[in-house]
Amino acid sequence: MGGNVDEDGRPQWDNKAQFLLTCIGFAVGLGNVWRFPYQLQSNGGGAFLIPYLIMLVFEGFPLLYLELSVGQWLRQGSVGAWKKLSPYLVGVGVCSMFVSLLVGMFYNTIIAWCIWYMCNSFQEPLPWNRCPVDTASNNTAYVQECQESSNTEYFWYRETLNISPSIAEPGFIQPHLLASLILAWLIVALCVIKGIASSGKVVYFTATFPYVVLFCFLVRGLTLKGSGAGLQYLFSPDTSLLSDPQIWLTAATQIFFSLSLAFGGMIAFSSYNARDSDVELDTFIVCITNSATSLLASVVIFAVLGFKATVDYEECANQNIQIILNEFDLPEQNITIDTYEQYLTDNNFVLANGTLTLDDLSIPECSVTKNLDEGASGTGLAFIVFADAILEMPGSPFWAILFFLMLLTLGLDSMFGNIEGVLTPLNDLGLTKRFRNEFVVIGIILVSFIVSLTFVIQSGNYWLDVFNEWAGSLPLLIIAFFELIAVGWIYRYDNFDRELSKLLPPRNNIFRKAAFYFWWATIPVISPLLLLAVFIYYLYDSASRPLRYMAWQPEGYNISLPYPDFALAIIVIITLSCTIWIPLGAVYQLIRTKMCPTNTKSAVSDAWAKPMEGNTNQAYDNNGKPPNGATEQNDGYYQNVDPFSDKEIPYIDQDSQEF
Amino acid sequence: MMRGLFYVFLGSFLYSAHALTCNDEELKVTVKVTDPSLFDEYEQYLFKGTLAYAIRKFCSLPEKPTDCNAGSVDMTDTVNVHILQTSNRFAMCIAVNDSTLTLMEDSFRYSRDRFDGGLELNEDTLVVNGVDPTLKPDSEPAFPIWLIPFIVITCLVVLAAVAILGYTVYQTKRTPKHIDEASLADSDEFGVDSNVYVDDNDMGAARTAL
Repeated sequence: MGGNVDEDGRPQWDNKAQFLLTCIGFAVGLGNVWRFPYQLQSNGGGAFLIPYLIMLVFEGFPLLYLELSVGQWLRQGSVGAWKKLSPYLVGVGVCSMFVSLLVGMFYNTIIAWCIWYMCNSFQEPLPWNRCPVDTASNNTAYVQECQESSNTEYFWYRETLNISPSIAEPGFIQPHLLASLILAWLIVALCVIKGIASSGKVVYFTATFPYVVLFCFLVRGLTLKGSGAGLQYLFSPDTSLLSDPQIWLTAATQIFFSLSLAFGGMIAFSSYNARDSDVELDTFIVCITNSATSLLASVVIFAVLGFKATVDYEECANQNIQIILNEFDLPEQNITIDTYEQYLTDNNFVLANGTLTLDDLSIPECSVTKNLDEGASGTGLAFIVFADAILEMPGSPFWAILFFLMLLTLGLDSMFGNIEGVLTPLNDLGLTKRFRNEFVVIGIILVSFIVSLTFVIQSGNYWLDVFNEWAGSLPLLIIAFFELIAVGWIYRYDNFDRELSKLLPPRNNIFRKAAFYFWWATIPVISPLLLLAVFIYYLYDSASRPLRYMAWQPEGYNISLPYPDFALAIIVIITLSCTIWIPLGAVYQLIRTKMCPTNTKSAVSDAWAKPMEGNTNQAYDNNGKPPNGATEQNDGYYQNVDPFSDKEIPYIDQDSQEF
Repeated sequence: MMRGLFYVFLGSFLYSAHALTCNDEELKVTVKVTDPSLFDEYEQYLFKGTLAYAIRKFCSLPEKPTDCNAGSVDMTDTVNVHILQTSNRFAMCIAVNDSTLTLMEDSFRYSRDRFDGGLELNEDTLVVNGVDPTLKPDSEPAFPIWLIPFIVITCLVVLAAVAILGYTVYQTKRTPKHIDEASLADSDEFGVDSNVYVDDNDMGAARTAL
């Protein structure tokens, strides 16, 4: 199954659509569905869109443009690309690689959970429909853990995760989760086994299917009763929050993580592009699609949550009605749902602390808004709250299958980016020269699989949160900051722009000209400052938050526990194993420069701080002949140098400025 | 106006009536009807008869509870069942001669479905204090249902893997015709490669080709 290859033997996309769908699929992930809606609602509703869009423009666009153009221009993955810009920056690429590896390990576990839930959705009624009966009580009561919490929480914490009471108690591997995990890794392996030749075809489905499902849910959700309440709750703006700088930083953080930047995946994908592909247009398409998807998902999620809140309100009101009817000996239907509120006001029920009292009768308060206030994000939203909402919809198995299949495809194409973020740099480093690519892929997946076994033991969910918190956040901010500095100041943006203007279409209309000045303003100045602010805020937020986690107890509730020492040690190792490479790479290059001065005059390191004069990217402008030094193995411009060999490169004139 | 009057009437009624409370030895039965007149004297008579039947039936069981020995409980008739107070809910307090509360509850629990069927009610509409609604035990399926789609998906994935593997092997066997002799000596199907760039059908690992 050979894909397209260009004249250097590097794979190419079959068509532009594959590239765009892959990037969109990588950027649009689970966070668009279960993180953004919660952020939107809890940070001022409709008003949050203002900082969000501003941050998209000043942080999202420049960073994505940077990654796509670096990859497309230098035609290398993250390690090779940063090394070409400056050999001292090789650590940035290695850091990206490690982050991709660590994130890929736990991300696939979430896909395994989706597979498990999806397989369980092929039955009516759904298994999380009700609590299991406690046979020890002669079938008169439900299992206590389920009674205390709820049927969906019980199904998630007990029947799916079988979670242990703390991270210090590892428990056993859960066989059903192990089976789902193996299947998840098999699917990922199958899709990336041929690199972009195979994953490029799978994304036709995985990147488009979520939109089909979102539209189905949109139509279904908007026609459910109570959806309007949910949407109103979501979008009602609280403009007073805009003066709080935390909201702006939250918006910046959200945009940054939403676009899957700094993983090296975007660089890898665009490195398989044709040299003259329109990077600016690609950037705009991916960014706008990503944000539009987030908004669409928010509408869907909150329409359904509004429906669920209304259903819960009616259930609560019905219970209260029964209590009142019993207390006052009134016949059935004397009070109905429609007359409930009127009845409460007519009879002077007093509301205090969430309970209504009249004489010696007290009943809990029922309120749609209060139900919506118990918002959730992350796995809690998908596997507890939303699963609960699906139970109330007619035809629930169908909607459940659709929903979890959507989560599956959302996660799958993000996994492609993670794997690609490891694979391409490994190839660029030359470490895998001797092996067939399929074996490298299988090797990466085997290693990831073995580590991800940690997440299917009983305390696995706690470890997953640790990885998610510490591997998938802070290192990314650091990498992105160095990326901006590398292009803006180390390589210098004027050189970068000169190189890129040879690739891009001519700047002859107002949009191109505006974009030109825009990149000039943002990449060297505005975006690094923004990113620095986000980084400091994130660091401060992480440091001020106590190192505790929520642990589910078998009695049916969460308690907050501190992380034990060995968990703290793992946290430190995870954070360091990514970020340590940046200084290490610079130090290594420094030592190499000092120790072996002759080798520093390789073609690549001379690029540092010097424009590549006389270098064009049109391959054959040297009077129609290939440039000096070109062989059939490379075109004389960008040689694929093995960074760890000390061999003199025989076919390049060392003193020539031509590359 | 009529609605307002109705609510005033209701309000005044509220403060005068509170929940029906029965004595310790009386069984409280609530029948949730929209119109209290629906559960009239004939329905009450049917209830009395069914309760008498239930007590006799329960006491005829081989493992007779000791309560059945009191008086002539095992020969309870409708005249022995007394409906003492009723309320608008519709709720009533029941007492049976020589019969304890526990015996009444147990008998009712044992013959629950006969009450439901005879009175055309169900567990929601006929509520007896002390008798909790029985929960249907989960029927554990012999084979966990989730495994079925799981196995289907696994088979599909394995088939796809075999297909790709087979296609790869087929391609590799086919391409020796296309490579020139120089690289044929060097290239090895599965491992050490040559640095020669061959056409895209060859799966020998050129360094950056996939």
